[in-house]
Amino acid sequence: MSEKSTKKTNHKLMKKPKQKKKITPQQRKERRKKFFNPNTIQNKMRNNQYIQKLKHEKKVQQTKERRKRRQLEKTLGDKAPPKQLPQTIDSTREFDETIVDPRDEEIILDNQSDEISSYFVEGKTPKVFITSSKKPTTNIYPFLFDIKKAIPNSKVYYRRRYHIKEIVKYATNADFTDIIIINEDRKKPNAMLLIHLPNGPTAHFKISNAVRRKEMKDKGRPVDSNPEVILNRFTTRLGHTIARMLASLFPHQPDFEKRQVVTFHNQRDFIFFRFHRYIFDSPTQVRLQELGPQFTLKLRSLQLGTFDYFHGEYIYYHKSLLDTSRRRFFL
Amino acid sequence: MTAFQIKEPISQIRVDSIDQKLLSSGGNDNILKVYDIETGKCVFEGQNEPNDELDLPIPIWDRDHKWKTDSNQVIIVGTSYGDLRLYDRRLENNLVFSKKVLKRPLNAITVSRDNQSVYAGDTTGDIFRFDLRRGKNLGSFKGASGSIRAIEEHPVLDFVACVGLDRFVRIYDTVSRLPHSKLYLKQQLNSLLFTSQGKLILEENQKEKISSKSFSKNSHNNKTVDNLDKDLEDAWDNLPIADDVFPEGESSDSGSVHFSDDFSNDENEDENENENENYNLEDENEISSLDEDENENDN
Repeated sequence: MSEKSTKKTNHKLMKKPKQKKKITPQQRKERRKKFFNPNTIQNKMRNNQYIQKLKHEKKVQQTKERRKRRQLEKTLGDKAPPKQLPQTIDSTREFDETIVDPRDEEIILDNQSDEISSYFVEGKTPKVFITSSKKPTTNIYPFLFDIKKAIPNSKVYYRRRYHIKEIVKYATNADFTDIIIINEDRKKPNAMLLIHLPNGPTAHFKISNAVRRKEMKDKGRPVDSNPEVILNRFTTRLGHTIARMLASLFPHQPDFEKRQVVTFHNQRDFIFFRFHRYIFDSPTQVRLQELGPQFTLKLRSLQLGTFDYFHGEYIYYHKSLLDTSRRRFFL
Repeated sequence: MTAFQIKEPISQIRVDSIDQKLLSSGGNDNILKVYDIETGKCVFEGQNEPNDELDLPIPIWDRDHKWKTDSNQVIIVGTSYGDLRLYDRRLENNLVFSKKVLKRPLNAITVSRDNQSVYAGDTTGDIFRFDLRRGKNLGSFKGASGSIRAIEEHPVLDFVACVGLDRFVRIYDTVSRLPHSKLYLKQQLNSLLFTSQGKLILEENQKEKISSKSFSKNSHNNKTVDNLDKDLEDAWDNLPIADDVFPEGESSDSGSVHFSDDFSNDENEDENENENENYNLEDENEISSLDEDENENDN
């Protein structure tokens, strides 16, 4: 009996064959066009022609739509539909719970008792120590002097054979607040170590796309002054500490008359360094003149305390395991 | 109250897990020592490894150490040079074994519940599990990116929680070694402790004489409680008694419907950083035996 019953249920469960929808020949044509793969055309020339034709049609349609939007904006003015925002990797980044709310009291108090707070709370004037790696080539020195021109109250030292721990000891005794050490590989700047003194964090960056002042066209000549500092898009908790470290390299009150600006712009975890002067051609027109070097930084690690490669504790240490998707960022 | 001096510098101080009468400390250039709390005298001093080929002493830097949970004789040490060491107080040559297990310092250590293995945390956020007999690597727990300051294993369930400089509490499953959940807590965190929930369950059982099986099943579904001990006790007083949960018509076996594998409330437990309740060994043994009984009945 039991077998019979199961058979019956099975019969009930069987689906009826679906009736095919009737399609008009026009619809069929459209569908063929939509799902047609141009790679199936074996003749290369015809294949190429077909693809270019499709591209052209798409372009024509886009221009039509754009013209329509422009007209609407002209006629309706403020009542026109809002502008469409492009979808980028940066705008569709993964949710991060460490993104800082600037009104959060806990984080404000945490920042006030930080290692870097001697600059922000007490108003200590920074003094920066710049060196190269051991056994430098002569190519690195122009780059070091370019950085020296961007950062006021800084000095370039010959590295000799001193270990980083020895330099830290010397610099703390001489009242320096920061150390910048630039490493090179195949005569090009490769990495930067930024140590905050006396017991602040140390950050290790990778340097890429470094351009010296000498190699740039249409550059201006920087003047000794305190530049204005712009720090863009450092949103997370880690990004805040990095931004505070970078800000503490420059003196508090900028010379607005000299009109020089240093920018650290963070985009997808890459920090772009630029150095500009803004020039008023007329009261309404402003233009930018580029000075100094260009380079981009990427954070490799952030260490608690001064430099100690082996025994030090890391606040952040980049591993390939952390790069789980293209839309995950840490700064 | 007695006051006595300990040799500095110190990286960690621990108390032994059975009668809390011994105190152990170690640090940079300061090898592991055990003191008697009542007299204040040094009872035991660890030995270093023999000198190397050039007859130079091997440097000492103890980062973290823990007592075994079943005896007050054996101590496990993680050093800053990546060594895992095991000391036995009863032996004349008290360093039983020392093995270089990692390239980086072992920053935090805990002994597992069964005393067979050790969980060790790195300064870059890696957690490993090592066998205690030979120091063999039994697998890693991934996900953290900052130095680990403390690891702790759940007294009853198969979970390990860690805390560190990346401001997260992370919980891992010890069987599958996969991350179970994480919590962002805004501060750089130093230590964590699990509440001794299993112990409380047993106390309740002895008082009210409820069938142990049904109550322990229920306890997983109930919400865990916030920081203070008082809150914990109040909450346990207000809990429904097992008879209320199961109406008379149902047998105790049907109670297994209420039991679910949802431990999402475990996250709240880890916030109890300041709590200092020591977990009794006897209770633990009883609980583990109870759990086994359950499994048999379910099958």
